[in-house]
Amino acid sequence: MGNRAVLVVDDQWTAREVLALAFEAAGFSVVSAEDGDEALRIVEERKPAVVVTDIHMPRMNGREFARTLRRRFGARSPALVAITADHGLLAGLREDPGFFAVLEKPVDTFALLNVVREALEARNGA
Amino acid sequence: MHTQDRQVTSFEAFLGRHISDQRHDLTVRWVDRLLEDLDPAAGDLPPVDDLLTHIPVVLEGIADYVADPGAEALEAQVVEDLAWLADLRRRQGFSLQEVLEEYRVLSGVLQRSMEEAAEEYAGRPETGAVVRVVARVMDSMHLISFVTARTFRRWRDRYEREWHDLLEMYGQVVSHELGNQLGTAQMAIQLLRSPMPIDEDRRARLYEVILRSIRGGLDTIEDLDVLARPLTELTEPQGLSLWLLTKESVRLASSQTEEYGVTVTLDGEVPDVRVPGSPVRIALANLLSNAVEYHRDDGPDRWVRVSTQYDEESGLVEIIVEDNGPGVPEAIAERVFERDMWGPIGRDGSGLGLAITREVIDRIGGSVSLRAGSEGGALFTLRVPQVSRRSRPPSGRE
Repeated sequence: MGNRAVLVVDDQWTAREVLALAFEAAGFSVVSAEDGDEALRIVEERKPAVVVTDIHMPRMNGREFARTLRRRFGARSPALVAITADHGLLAGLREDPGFFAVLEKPVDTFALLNVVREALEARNGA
Repeated sequence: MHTQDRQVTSFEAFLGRHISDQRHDLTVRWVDRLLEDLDPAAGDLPPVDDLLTHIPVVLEGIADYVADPGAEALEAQVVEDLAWLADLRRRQGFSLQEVLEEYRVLSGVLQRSMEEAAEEYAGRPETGAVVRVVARVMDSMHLISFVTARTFRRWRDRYEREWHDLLEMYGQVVSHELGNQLGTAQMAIQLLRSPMPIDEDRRARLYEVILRSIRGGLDTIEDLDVLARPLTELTEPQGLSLWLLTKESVRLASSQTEEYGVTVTLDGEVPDVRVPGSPVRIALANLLSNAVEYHRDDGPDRWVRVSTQYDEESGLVEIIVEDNGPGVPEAIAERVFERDMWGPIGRDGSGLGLAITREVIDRIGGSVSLRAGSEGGALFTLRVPQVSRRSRPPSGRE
């Protein structure tokens, strides 16, 4: 089975909750964090295989979070999937090798689940 | 008395000296005329101290110009004082028309002064000299009106530019916020309609997500009520009674708190002063809405208290909105007002309200700040200049 833990990072409760419910319904193990600092602590403790993160967040935005994750965990970093409603950031984020995938809001639930499955396979070495 | 031999002193020079010597008396005479014409019950008294300070400087400039228009340019002498006075009056809520009307009265006082000077002048002034001094005084009054109108117009142009930028920024934020909220609700509905196994507990959670997303979207739209108001309401706010404003705002907030079980009260005496109406109404509505939304979760005794005070010396009115909710960590107390701090941590309001509050209050020379309250909740302090027109504004010369 491999590691099927997904960490959801979003400062808005509604977004965290709906993502968590989607992943739970799809059979993943889910943990949530409301900002980058909390997410880094969870990555350290729970070692999720995939992190699904918002980009616009207080204190530490999604890009800073991605950089910190890489710096701190290197090759052990979970696969990172970004979700953003900021169209202006899409192109730059998609060129950023730190992200496995970048999805634009509003996100299609099933497209997101497929991307996370791909990320899991990639992270767990298929 | 400045009776001079007209062979020695021209009427122009004589009148110039007359106006210069009489500048303080003329100013007092003018202010007295203004006070006579105004309805004291309306509280529309001009800022007497400031007029007594600055108008003599303007009259000195007029005196020099009447005596010798070829000397130092009138505008260079008086423009700074006139512009400062115009800005002062604007901040106090006077319209351009009201200020120009006052200067029309000043013109009448100068006319009377010219008549006095002509009587005091040895012999009869030459017709040509009379025409010249009348033309120079008219020039001066025209300049006063021009500089005053220009100051009002520049301020309005600047404000309209800023307002345009603000609209653009809010447009982006609203698009982002509503997109997020509707997108989240859409995801929840997709899940509910999917063949995926979703138990009762998860269904209930999804319904809660949908409800909260819709409420967040509605809050975002409500925050934007400010954009539907006429520009003049914010740029040239009319003074409204602080007592009426706070009482009405608390009543409105109370009617919306049933859902949360929060008590909203107005504590203590409310000073009898007027404040910029629309900006304070918007700010107070946002602060109260914020305080009610962020109520305490750990107990039933939930309250929001509004209190007011007036510092006569500074002319500042203070409105305090305190709650016993979870409060805001000191480290981000300032950031809650930032434009990019949309989406308060842990709750799903749009976060626009506090940014709008700061914007509208900044524009009337006020301030809004946040610190911890007596019971660890949030304590917002709104400071705004009073616009009762009965005393000097708080700001010094800029």
